[in-house]
Amino acid sequence: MTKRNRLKMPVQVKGLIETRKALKKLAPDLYEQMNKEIRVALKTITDDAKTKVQPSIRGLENWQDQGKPVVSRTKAKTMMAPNLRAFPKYNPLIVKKGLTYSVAQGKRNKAGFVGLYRLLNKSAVGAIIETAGRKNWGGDPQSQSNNPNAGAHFNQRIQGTYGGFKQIGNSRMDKGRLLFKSYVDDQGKVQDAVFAAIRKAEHLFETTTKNDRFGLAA
Amino acid sequence: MTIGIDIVSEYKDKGAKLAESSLNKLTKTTKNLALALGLALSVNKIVAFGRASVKEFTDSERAAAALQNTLKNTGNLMAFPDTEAGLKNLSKLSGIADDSLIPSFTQLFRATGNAKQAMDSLNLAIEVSRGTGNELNQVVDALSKGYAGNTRGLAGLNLGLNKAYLATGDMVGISAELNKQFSGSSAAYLDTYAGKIEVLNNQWNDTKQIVGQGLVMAFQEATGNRGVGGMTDAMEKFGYIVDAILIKTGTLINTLTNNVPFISDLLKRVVDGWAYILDVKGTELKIQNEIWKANTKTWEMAQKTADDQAKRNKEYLAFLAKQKKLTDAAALAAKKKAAEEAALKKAASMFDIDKIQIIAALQRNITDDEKLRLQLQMAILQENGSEAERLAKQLAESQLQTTNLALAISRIPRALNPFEGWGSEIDNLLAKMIQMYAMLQFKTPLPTQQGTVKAQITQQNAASVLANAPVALNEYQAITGEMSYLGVRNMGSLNITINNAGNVVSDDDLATQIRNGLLNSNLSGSPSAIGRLLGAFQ
Repeated sequence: MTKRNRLKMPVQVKGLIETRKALKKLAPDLYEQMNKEIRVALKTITDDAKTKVQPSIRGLENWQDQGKPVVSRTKAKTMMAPNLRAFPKYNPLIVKKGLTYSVAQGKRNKAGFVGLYRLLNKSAVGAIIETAGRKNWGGDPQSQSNNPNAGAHFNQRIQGTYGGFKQIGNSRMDKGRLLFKSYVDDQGKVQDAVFAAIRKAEHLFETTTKNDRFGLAA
Repeated sequence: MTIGIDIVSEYKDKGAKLAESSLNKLTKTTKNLALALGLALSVNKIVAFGRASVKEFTDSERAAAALQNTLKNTGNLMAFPDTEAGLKNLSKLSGIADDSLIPSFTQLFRATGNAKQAMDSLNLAIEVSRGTGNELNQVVDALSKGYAGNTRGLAGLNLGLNKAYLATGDMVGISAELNKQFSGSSAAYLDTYAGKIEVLNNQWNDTKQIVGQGLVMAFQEATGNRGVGGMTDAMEKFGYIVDAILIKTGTLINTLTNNVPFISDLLKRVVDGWAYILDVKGTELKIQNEIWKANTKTWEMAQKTADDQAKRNKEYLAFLAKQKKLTDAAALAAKKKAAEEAALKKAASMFDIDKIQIIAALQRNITDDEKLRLQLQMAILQENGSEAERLAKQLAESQLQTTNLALAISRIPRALNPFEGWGSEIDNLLAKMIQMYAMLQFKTPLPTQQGTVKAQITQQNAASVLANAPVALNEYQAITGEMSYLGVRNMGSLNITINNAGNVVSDDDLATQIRNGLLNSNLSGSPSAIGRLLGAFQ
């Protein structure tokens, strides 16, 4: 069954990907309207996450961004690590800026799933706040640092300012302090809103195409 | 790195359909295989449980043996039964396996040397571990290091204790503070779902341990004296028997539960019946009896060790008493010798030449600096360290002051010499005086204040000289008058006869006679006068 044939026939959209494609191509206004509603819903989470961003981390004052350029203290870039960059300084503005969302289709992950509506914590420093200590709370157990407790101290100070992780799924990696926390605090309302917007668009699209089929549309 | 939450995602089946069909085929094959392997798998489960149970029991026994050995080596074997019971109780309360608690306790016991304190510290470590999220062994490690005086580990746990306070190493205070801070953390943790699960897991491990002990005892009993080989055979047979019983029982229960409504009650009765048949109570008692026997054996061993220890303690005390007696005698002798040496030294000091010299020198009128030097030397001779140090310091200050003074003097600019150039002036003056003197040799002598001067009288100047010298003129006139009276001018030659004077022939003879005569006169007291101007006797 080709898309052209579906145009003439009543469309039963099965997959979200197909729905979006169909909407985008056949009812761009409806698609845009749906995305607008979804954006509003997603923005509630990112706005809430932004309110959680603290101006500084207690006990990590030296980590605060003073506006000076940050130079990597590790080895120079290598062939194996061409994108090596310095450990970022803590800047609440950058963290807030990185808290955003996307309605674009993402890449297929290893498990074969594709994200369609995503909440994002894009900045490096934001990712650190989100996940520091998620894997090794007590610091890297194989650390060869002169101060092997530095990792634990870092995690504890961030935890002290931002509080603990909140978990979404069963995996220990599905937890965080900013975006994840806001999402958990939201108790699924945003997800419901997103699905509601999709269903509404689907319904409207079905109605429109059905009426169009029977020549009822204006 | 971007952290993302996919609100809505979809599974994209690209390339998965092929995998799905393959998986279906595999599942079909596996099902058949599973049916075939069902029996074997169930047997494996039972055997695995048996293995786990025995392993749990042996691990526990090994840990207990290690604890017993530690206590024995430190002379605390009597504390073993109570300690073991306490650890088992703590394990039940905290949900931590006693296999983990025993090494921790042993470590703390080695650090504290006291079973009670080690138990308290272990309790504290559990509270801290649960309160902070740190691993128990980390906390135990930090605490045991703390008892050894190294509190860096405690600081590393970020317990919120002041670094300066930790640096004091006062473990009593630190423990009290930690107790205050983390007390009740374990209980709070055990209230959580995770905590309850942990307690259940622990209890399950304990159950496995009991079953394991029962299995070992059962196989021992079944094999009698045939040793380990016999035990393994018995275990294998037991596995098959249990397997058969369980499979049959399972089938029976399945059938009954599907067909008979009152099966629950019946099942209970069946279980009770099996319990009766298998003598579960008896087995439990037997296990407890075995534990009691083990404890009794331990107690007997502990008693023996304690007796030995008491004997050794007694011997050691006797040895200490003897040692003390010898030490006291040695101290007394040393004291006496020291007193004698002091007396001798005092006596010897009376003949100490160096000291005597210094004391004598100090009596003299000397400068302060010299006095300090002498006093310092004296202090050194008397081996008075503090006094010597004080005097040396004072002398150094004095020398420094002197050095400074000399330096200051050396820096004073050179004064003007008022006598500079005098040598040449005097030389010039003397030269002029000599010149004047030479000139004066050719001038007429000036009359003296008394009017008498010596003048060279010649025939030419005699008249003028006499005219200017009245006294000389008078004398001249007197002489010439006398000469005139005697007729000297006309006399020609004058013969003078001197009696008893020998022969006076020459002028020299005459001078000799006159001299002798004058001498005689002088010696005899006769007065004589000499006319100075004329050179004549009067």
